[in-house]
Amino acid sequence: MSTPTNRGGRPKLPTKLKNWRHTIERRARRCGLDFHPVVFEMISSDEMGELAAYSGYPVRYHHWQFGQESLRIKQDEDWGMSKIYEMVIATNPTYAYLLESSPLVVQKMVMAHVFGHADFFKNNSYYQDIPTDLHDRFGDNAERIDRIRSEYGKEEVDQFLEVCLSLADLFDPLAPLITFRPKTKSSHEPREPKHILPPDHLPDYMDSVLNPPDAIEAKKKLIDQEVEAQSKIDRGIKIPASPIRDVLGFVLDHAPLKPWQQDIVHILREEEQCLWRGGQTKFMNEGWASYWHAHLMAEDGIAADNELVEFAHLHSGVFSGGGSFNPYRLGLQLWRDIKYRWDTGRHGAIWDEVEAIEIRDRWDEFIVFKTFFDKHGGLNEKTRKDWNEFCALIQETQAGRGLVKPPLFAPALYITEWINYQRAGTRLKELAVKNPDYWSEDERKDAIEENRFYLKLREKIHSGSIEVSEVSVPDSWVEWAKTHQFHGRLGDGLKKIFEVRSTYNDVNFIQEFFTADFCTQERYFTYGVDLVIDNGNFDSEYHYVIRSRLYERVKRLLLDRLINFGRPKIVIWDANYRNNGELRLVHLHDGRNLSRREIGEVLLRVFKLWSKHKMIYLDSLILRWPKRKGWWEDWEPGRKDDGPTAAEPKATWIRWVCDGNKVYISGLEAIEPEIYKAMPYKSGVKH
Amino acid sequence: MFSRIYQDEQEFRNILRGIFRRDLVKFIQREQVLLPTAPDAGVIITIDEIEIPHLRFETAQEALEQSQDGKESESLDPNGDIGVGQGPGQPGTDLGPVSDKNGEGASERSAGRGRGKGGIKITISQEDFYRIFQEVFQLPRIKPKGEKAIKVSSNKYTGISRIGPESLRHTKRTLKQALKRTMAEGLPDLKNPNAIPAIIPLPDDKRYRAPKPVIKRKNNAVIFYLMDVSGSVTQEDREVVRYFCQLSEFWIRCNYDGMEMVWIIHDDGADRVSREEFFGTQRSGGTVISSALELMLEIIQKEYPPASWNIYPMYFSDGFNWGTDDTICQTMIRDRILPIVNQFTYGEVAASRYWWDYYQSSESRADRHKRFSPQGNFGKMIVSAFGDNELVAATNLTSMDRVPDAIREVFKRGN
Repeated sequence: MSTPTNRGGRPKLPTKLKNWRHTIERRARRCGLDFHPVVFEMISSDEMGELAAYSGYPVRYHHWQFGQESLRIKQDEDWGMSKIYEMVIATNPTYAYLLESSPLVVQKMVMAHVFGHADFFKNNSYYQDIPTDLHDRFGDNAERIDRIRSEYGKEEVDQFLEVCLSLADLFDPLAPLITFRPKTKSSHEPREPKHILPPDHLPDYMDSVLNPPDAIEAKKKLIDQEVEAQSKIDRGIKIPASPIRDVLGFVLDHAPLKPWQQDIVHILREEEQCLWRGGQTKFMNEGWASYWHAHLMAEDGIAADNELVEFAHLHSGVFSGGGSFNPYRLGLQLWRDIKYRWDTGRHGAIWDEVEAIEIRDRWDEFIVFKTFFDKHGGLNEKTRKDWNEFCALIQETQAGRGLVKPPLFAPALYITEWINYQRAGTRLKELAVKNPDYWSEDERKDAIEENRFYLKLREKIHSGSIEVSEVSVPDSWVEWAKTHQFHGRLGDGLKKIFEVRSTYNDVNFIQEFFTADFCTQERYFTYGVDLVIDNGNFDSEYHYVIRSRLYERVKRLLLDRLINFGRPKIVIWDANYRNNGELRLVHLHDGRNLSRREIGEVLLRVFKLWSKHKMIYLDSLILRWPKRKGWWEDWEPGRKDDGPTAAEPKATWIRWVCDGNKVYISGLEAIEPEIYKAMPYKSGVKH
Repeated sequence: MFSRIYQDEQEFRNILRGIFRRDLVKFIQREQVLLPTAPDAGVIITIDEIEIPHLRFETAQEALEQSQDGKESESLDPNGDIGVGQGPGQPGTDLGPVSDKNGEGASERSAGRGRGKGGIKITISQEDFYRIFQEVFQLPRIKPKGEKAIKVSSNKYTGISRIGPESLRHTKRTLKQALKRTMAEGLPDLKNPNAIPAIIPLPDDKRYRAPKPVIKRKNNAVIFYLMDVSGSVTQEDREVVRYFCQLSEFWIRCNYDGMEMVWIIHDDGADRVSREEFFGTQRSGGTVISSALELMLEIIQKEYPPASWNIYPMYFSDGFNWGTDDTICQTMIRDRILPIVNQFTYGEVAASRYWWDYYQSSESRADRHKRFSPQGNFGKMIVSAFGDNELVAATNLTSMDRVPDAIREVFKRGN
């Protein structure tokens, strides 16, 4: 019915691609990727456009927004602006769609990419509570909505659908984690302020010192308020008991809806939450898949030599920055950075706090030294022996007698070479037994050859036949090694990224791994808007201007757009406002103003959904800054330009009221202390 | 395979129909309507993506728009960050204007569901667009002048001829002819069946179907586009004129069976040019409007006899004229042009401030300043002399925003 497999019953993959698919899958597994079975299907670009318009699911309910999306995708493709090569959905088995007309090199890259996604779907913890049969559910939902349409009339159902879609983004990201405890009635025992009793007998007049009457009085009032509030909740006068963010969920429970309307609300809420949960790892997921397609294609040799240029072209096309921000690129770069940092021990206090040039600049050598230092408990004979061995390896490789030839051998490779050299023995053993299926005969032969080479080199060095000119260890190294702990092991990059892919989402991914070094190295910046003078016609004009390269500011912005999906936090504060069943929404202002353009329309829709005769309120703050001026205004000769002065915004309360026909805007003098307390933005706000 | 998305696309197009009706004026003002040059190509309209209304944060664009209307405060933090970019540059580096939609500068496609807003180009058929256009602007159908409807002949096989190809032979008429001839040769004895001769058509008897010209009435129109290309008309003015020309051309084309266009530019002399030259030429001469009108009349006389053509002269200028020429033009329009045209249209574009400043300050000002009539004078003359004349339409084309109103003013009479 709605499984993706019945799309035209076409042959799944041509033989040539099927062979490649097995090769790529085998190598992906060898790299440690772990996924559900992947089913590839070839589809035409029209079908791809349709799938993409439905965000990857073959069957969705009918709605014009998908039509618009489809037209836009077609147009982009016609103009050569973008092309969709694949779609993957997080099901079990994982369905992946390839574009029929792509050349072989693209198909290889896309298949490698798909395995990356499939691994992410299976292992990332934020995907675990998404049902793996989502395509079926979406299909069922589509059918259900179609049936409702035919039963209750297209016009009416479509209108209702439209209303719900406007509110569908007001969900609670934590909703799936909240378990509702059964309601317990609070005890009605009268509560009294705590009266302090003196341990010994004291004169009576001391009582008023220990328990000042006004303090007791204030406490009593507070308790009365609490009791009152609680009793309101108990009697059902205060709904909801605490502010609720899951608007559709609340509506589902409390609004007077017909059964078919409840069905629609339920469906939309569920779909939105599933899509959202998939979306909270977007940077990571795309970056991860790209990391692996690049690795498999280029380093693992899936791309033939004559395909490499085309692959590089394709790859750079997807990840070009061109001065603007590209989230896929950020994801990919972060993964590489993490791997690099954990491979070379550039993490933790020992790296973050280091300031000495001779350590920072020769970090790769220092950190190897540090491992010897730790292993042998200080700078002793054994440490020196290991250090000599390391120096010998570097020296030999630099002389062209190592595995990596000199022009390619840079300090960045010291650690990798050292680890390969050290682990050659264990790797040989592993090759003999572990996962033999992942290796083809040739590959295994090559790998064995490689490791044997290291062993030979090792023998040579150990035999002492090589003249080693020892690199002296600076005192500062020893000092730093003594005072700082190094956690973890060198060459742990791969282990680290696999760990991160399992347990992080975009928010904490950026939070933890977007470092100052990374920001500087990848040249991220923030920009704002300035009034500048246009030399052409001497009119002032708004221009985008680079503001800052401070990583804190860049990170702040990235997080702003990720947290709660870059949407405002709206809560249902009171559904029985003024004890009259009126609905009061509050926007928890965090320094970003609401867009006033669509509020009217949205509130009218809430009105339709909520009760059809009760007022709807939306309270928020508006921040306004003094109007900016160009530098040339009130400029005088000799004035020193000391840059813009930071201006404090003026915060005013604002309230939108909807009576079903129109939306009115009014100010608010002040607001209840509870709301003020919940509001993240505080400075300069009256309450 | 039936595609599910097809139904959604159809639904979306239905919504668009309503949006075109509502916003057509806005689309025209922003030059989002691209009219076809080929007769059967579609009209392309660029629309902003329609979004389901949501409670969302104010974008930088919105905040700036809000703060531009002269308020004392603005809702965008003057020192705040609005986005993240990647690449070279120091703090303070200019990344390009905010209003520039094409060179996206530092703007970006935001992550998650909120994609960057790009336009969608929708193609609709000319007939559909014509209907919407008429409805929105409330324009009456143009009534072609009856006696000026010219006759065009087309062929129909209704005639008979004595020569022709065998495939067109009219068997019935051929046999009839043969019978007539046989009868004429002598009346046979009808009582004796054997005496009745066989009727055999001779080559001379053969008759063929032949084409016969049918006279059909057909309405043709010719538009004369005239423009002042002297130094005082700037390139931006021409953009407005070009767009107005496209729209008027579309409307007249839809109302007539055939249409031709003549392009004339002038400074102190007039030339007949191609469309490209019309919009691409800049000269620095003076301004004598009557020269263009004279050339037009000449062409009308030679190529477009007023008896068989509906003639639409449209003149665009900033209203400067050689001082003494205004009166000449006035008599010319009244006596020689209005009697033969459907409507005389005058569109006045914005006067170039720079040119006027330059002219005022130029050295030869002393001997020139009396020669030019002040700017806008030609328009005033037209309005005062022909303001109540049904055959004259005068309008302002000072900016793109004016174009829809201009269309309405020019075609509201159905001339």
